[in-house]
Amino acid sequence: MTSGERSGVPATRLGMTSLTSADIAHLRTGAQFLACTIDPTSTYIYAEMIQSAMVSGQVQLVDVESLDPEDLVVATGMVTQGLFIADMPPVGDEFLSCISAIETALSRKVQAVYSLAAASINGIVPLMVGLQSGLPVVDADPMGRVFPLISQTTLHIGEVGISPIAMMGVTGERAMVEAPNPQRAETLVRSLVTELGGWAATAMYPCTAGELRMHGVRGTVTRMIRVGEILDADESVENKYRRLIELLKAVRISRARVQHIESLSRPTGLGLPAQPSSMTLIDETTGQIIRLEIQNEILLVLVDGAVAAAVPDIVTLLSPEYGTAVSLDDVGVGTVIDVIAIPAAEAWYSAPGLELAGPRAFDIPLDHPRRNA
Amino acid sequence: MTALEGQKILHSSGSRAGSLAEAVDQTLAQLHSLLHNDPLRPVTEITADVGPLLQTRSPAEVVAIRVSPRPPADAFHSTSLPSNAASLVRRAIHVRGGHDVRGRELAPLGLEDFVAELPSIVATGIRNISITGVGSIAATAHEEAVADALLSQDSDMRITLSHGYFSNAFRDRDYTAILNSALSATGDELATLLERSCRRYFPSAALCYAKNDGGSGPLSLLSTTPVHGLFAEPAMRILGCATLTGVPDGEVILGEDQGVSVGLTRHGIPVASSLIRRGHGASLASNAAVHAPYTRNHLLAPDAVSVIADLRQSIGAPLPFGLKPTISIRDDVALVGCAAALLTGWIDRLESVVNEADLRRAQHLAEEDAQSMTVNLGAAPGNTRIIESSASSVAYSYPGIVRVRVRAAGTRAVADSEVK
Amino acid sequence: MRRPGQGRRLDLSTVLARGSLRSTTALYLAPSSTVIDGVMIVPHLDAIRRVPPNTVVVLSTEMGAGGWLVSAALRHAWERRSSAVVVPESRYSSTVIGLAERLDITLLAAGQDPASVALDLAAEIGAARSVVDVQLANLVRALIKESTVTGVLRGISQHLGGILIALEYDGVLVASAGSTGKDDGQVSVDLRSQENSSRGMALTAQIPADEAYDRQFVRTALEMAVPSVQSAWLQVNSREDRDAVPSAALVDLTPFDTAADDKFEDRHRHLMTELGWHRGQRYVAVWIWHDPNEPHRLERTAVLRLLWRRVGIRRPLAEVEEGWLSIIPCEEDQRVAQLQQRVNAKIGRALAEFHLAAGLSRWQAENVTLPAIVREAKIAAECAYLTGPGNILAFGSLNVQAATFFMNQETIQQVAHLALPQLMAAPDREQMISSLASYLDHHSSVSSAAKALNLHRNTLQTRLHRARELGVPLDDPHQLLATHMILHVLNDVTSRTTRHARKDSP
Repeated sequence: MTSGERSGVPATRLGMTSLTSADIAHLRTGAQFLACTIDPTSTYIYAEMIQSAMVSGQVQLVDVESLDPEDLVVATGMVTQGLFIADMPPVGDEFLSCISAIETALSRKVQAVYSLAAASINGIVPLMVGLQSGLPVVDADPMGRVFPLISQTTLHIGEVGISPIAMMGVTGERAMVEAPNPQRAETLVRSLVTELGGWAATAMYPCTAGELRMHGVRGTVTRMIRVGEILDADESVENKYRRLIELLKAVRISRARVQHIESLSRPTGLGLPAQPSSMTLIDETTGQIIRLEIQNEILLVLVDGAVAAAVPDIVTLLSPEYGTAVSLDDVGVGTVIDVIAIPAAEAWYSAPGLELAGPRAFDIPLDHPRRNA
Repeated sequence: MTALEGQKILHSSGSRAGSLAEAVDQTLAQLHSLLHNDPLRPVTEITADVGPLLQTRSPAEVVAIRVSPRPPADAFHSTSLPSNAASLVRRAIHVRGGHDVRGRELAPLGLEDFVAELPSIVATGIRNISITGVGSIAATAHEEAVADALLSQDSDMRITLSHGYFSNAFRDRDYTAILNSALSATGDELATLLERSCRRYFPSAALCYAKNDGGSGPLSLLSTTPVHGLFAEPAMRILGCATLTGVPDGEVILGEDQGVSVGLTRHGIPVASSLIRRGHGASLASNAAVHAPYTRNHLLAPDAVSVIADLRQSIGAPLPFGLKPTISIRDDVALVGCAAALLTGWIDRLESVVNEADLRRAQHLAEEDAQSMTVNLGAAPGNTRIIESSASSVAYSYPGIVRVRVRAAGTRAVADSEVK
Repeated sequence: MRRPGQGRRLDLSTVLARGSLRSTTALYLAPSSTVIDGVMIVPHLDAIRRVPPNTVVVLSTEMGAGGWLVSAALRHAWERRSSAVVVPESRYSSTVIGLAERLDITLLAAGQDPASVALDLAAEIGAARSVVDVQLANLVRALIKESTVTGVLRGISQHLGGILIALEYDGVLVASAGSTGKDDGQVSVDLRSQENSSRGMALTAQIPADEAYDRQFVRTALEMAVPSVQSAWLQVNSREDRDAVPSAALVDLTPFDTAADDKFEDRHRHLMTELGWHRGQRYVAVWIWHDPNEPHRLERTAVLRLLWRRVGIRRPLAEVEEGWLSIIPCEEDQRVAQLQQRVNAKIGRALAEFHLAAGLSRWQAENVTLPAIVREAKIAAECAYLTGPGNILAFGSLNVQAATFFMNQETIQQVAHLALPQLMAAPDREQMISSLASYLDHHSSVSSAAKALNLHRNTLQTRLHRARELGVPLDDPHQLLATHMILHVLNDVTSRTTRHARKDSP
């Protein structure tokens, strides 16, 4: 996509776009849509902060292709375990400190930042970091969605190193983690996060722009903005759906009414943040019974007991009445929702991808329908 | 004013008076002459919707105290409040402290520094204080310690602690606490006024104010939690329509001059959510009836009973979306709702559980607490029931953290005739 | 399970009203009348795919633990036209019941252990077919207590007067109990009726001809025992699966790096502990090889494990790629030969029937790493397979000769590493290899070889002498061909890598 297509602001250099306040608003919507299970409040807070800060600065979005392949880029994002970001948003110095810790550790200057995950809070955080640091934000990320573990990335599949990881916690305490194995890094970072107060601002996966281009998921920031443009548009719900399905190759699995919600609905043995729950819905047109299995994310959709979508597919919810993103918090018994499945980045359907983020990685003893397909 | 008996409107009238006190007095006098002579129809309860008054009265200024591990490092990282609340904050003070979702202390409370600031707070002359602490929904100690320090300096302070208003977001609780604090003087004044007039005409009636969730609370609480009565009107309309049509469970579609909206009732009480959202900004952390614009895409549940109420003052034109009204009312149906409102109490809390049995236990405890809360509001112990109870896991919080939410409703021992 | 003749079929509503399903709670009853031909306990989702029509599907306790699993199971059962699904009693949301209603399949909740419901039902199915017999019910009750396959077989045998009861797989005996007499007739029931599969497991009874044994009665007894056998089978297999994990993990640790081998124990201390490996303890590996071109069949592992017990070694058999593996402690040289004989005697015929072959590693006095013995056993097994299914070879008897079985260079190199470790570790190995290869090329003529290599005769002599010291069998005519092959391959590889290096340098 070229910058001229989307934004009124002219490109400052080839492949680089200055984001507008409207872009931020759309990105907020897109970031919420792609991660409907997560309370969007912290994303709203960040969007508001960015929009007010844009009065005195600019956010530059850059295509990974237009960076020098040797440029050092780093992922920024929040890792949480025990404190709601909406209850205590970062005070403002955390990410800059993390970036400078990475620069010191590697004796190199960071040339651009990218999102740890292209949805929810981590989809928007790097824009504030870019605004504060003056660094461009790369239009790519290592998940192409949100996964609960920092080891669940396409960079991990591509064997790009996760370390060093710079962290700064709620009280301003700092830590640096060096663990070559991303799974170990996840364990260490998660336990440190609890000790640091419940969340940490982090910078990790320092790599070259060339590596990010090769192993990251590209165009994902633009995708969030595009999704937001569609959902925020003042047009019929049908039109929004048509455009959304075209953009995301999405499938509407069902339009159904919530019948039952259940917490701690199945046994789990893994160290995943938060516990599982389930939701059962009835499609009133077809009579189909839809079952959603949730643990941080919607992991599995069964239609009359048959698998309709499974992680790493992105499963999200839309309001058929307003054509807007639905937050799981607002869904109660009686709510009618559209269940939408979006294919994840292709890398997730490879054998190592499914190993890392397929149903079995979430303790669901099923093979993804695309395994060996 | 509307007097209601069962599902029937006994009397309805408006009044014109010079002052609020006069208007209240006139209304109650009218009611007294209408009903008092009939000993078979005692007035047991009077419920007032004070929302419109609270909204029009100018709120007081507030000192906002915020407890968190670190203050914002720059202007952009301080969360912004909706303009109606931001303009009320004369002074904002940061105190070090706060807790995580499990109630673990994030930083020791910076009480000494705060105590040093106390004289300057008192010097502002402002008596309305809001205190919001990070993690106060999991641990209330820091908010309470700051409040104690303030009261020891000046016992006349009207303090709102944010943990009484459940939200995972600091800014929601902050906003709610500030607004509540700003309204508490007005609430106090209205409560006194209503109390005085009602006592004159109906000395034995229980006095209540209508709440945002479609329930009622004793008038005595209007001065401490006025925010819960700020937006009661939509809830009361939904309840009013459901009461008049005798539909306890179903959808209530309100056709009004300003547009069509839809709400839900369950067990005869409006379905509520814990926040009143305002776009992408801070939400008001008060239970409120779910009430949304009606669109042509609205899907009716096939087996649900719907009330379609034509509440428009202009008669003749059909309702939009081809809706056929099941009832047409010109009277203020919100007042019918007020008269029918039950006492409601709710529990919203985070619990740490290890297994399903634990979860059930936590939920059961919350149900008992909600019922005793309703009894404390004035319901007869045998007349309470749970109208909503859920325990849900919170994504990306901490293993074992669940949010337990319970609503209970109750009636007084005798409730034949209710009046507003 | 065998399909009975019309008219003798059980009807679901009768079984619910008066029969063995009386104790269950009906969460949903399909209004249409349903017959029952069989019952099956399913421990995991995939197992339902093998259920024949008109079967009552009983979900194991673990399966019932997640509501979604029940939903998925209902779906599978519906696709398989099952008679009913029995789930452990638990909190079931109205929507699970709603799904049963939607699919119109009966859903029952069992208050007791679902397995015992299945067994009771199995007894009833049998009872419906023959005349009701209290004996049969007693048999089933006795079998519930048994947790091993042999235990269950013994139980059946005892109830039927000590006759031989055998569990067979593709006609091969995998476990048995009781004794056989002369002129016995045979009654056999399929353990798993897999459609489209001519092979499978069968439970067989040898019925003495001279006694008044009722064939139908024996058949019914066997049919009723099927769920018990299945249940024991599953239990044993899942336990062994767990025990075999460390052995299976060894196979992945195979890089040919002597330096790494030295530190192997340090790097994999955890794995070694899991294996019960002791420093200084000697081990021998047994590899059972199957033709990689043959389709893999899940139940074969379970069958082999039962057979493996006959060898009398209490070490788990791990399923690995290209076969099965067991690691056995072994303190002295002769034990390897004994083990080879024992394997041959006990399961040699079965291996032949299944088109499998086995290989053993060498006993070595010095400390050798586990991956090395695993490779030896694997190579020996593959050699054995190439000589014919059912054969069992020990690497010790093969040594360099193993090379002659293989045409692929990679395996020959592996053989070289195992059989000629000193040569492979020698600093001048390239020089040695090219000299030795040339020597053998020239039919062991020192002069011709020296000339071809452009070396002095004495120099070559010195190298040959050193090669003998390094253990290269230059003088044993039996091993000469294999040695020659190995050296050729090594020489090829060496010269190719040198050429490569030259081409790459500017």
